[in-house]
Amino acid sequence: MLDCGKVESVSLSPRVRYRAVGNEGVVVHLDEARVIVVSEVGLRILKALSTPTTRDDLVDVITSEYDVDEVRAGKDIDVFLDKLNEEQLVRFDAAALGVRNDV
Amino acid sequence: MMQIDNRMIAGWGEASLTLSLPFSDVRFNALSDRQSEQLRHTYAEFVVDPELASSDPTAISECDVYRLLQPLEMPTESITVNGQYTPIKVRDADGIDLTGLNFKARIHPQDCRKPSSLGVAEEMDLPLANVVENFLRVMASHRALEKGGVLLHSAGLVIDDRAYIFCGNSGAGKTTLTRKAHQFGAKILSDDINLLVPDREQQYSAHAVPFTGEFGRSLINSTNPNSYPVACIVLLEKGPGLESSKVKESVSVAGLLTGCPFVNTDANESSRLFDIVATLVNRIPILRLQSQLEDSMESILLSIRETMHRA
Repeated sequence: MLDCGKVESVSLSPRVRYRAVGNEGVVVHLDEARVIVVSEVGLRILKALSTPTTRDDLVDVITSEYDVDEVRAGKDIDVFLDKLNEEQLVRFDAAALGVRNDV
Repeated sequence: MMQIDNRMIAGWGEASLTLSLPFSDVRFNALSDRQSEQLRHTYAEFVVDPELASSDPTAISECDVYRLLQPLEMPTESITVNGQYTPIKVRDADGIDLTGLNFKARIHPQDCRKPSSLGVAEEMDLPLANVVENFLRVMASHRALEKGGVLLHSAGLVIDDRAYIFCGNSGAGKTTLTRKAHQFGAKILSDDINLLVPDREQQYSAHAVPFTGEFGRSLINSTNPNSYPVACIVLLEKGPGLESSKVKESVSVAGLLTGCPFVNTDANESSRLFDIVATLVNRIPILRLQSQLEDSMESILLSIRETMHRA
């Protein structure tokens, strides 16, 4: 499992595109034509990841917008980032490239 | 001789052949007689007399065929994605370069007036499915977007003059279902890939394209129409028993995006493809279907129609 506490920042891969559909998100990895659906909260995290962001910033975003405490939000974000990492949808410690992933 | 990439290169001969395809007429130029004959045989249903081809120059895509100076030596791993042969596609501002095992091509998907090109080192490589069909598939996938439609990995089955489109990757059961449907009396548009485009009233039709998988097509005579209104799109899934259900919007969009080859990996087309698929999902019922080998086509169709009525 990824130790999100040890990475400085995380952002979406420039080879990823996503869009809100209803209240969920549809994410496409352009290299392998893999497509996944994420929840409303997942979509919010994707939006935050459009620019390099720290895990703590993500926790702040989610706790400020949803009724969830910091510990629970942190655990859920770790699991979600782990999943995104497995799917090669994110990169860590990346410099901002100015790529827009939302289409 | 013809000019390709600012170089003068020899064609294979002086024959030309026009295919009337639902996304565009495509005229192959500088063919040898043997190449022309083989293409005419393979795509007999789609060949048109030059006199009958569209008089609108923007409706014809010219394709100059040429000789590669030497065979390509492509490492297998460079043209394999997820275990499947996939030509390398590189896009620039002006068009798309396509490099396969034994061909090179250049396509201008957004400008019919610019001729495409297709080069092979061996004369009779050109009519091979892994050359000309790959070229046409890439062209079709992009031209479909121009028309607000998609080229979709799917089995297209025509029942009661309406097209039922079953989507799924290789192994999802498209060909098995196609065989059942054919025995049931359905016409087969294609068991592998189908073109869906909207008309002026935004009603979607499935069009016959010359791309098939293992089964082939059954619409082999000119008395059949070449397009049928789409009744529904069904996402095929593996499952323990016969069951169909409506699919929520996000899953529908994801399912269809997965099935749009070539354009779903093209960053330049992402936005437009999302728009088109989202519109399609709002206009056509999208269902999921689980079935087993022993389920009859009749029972599958009944399940689908009941789900459509409930939706």
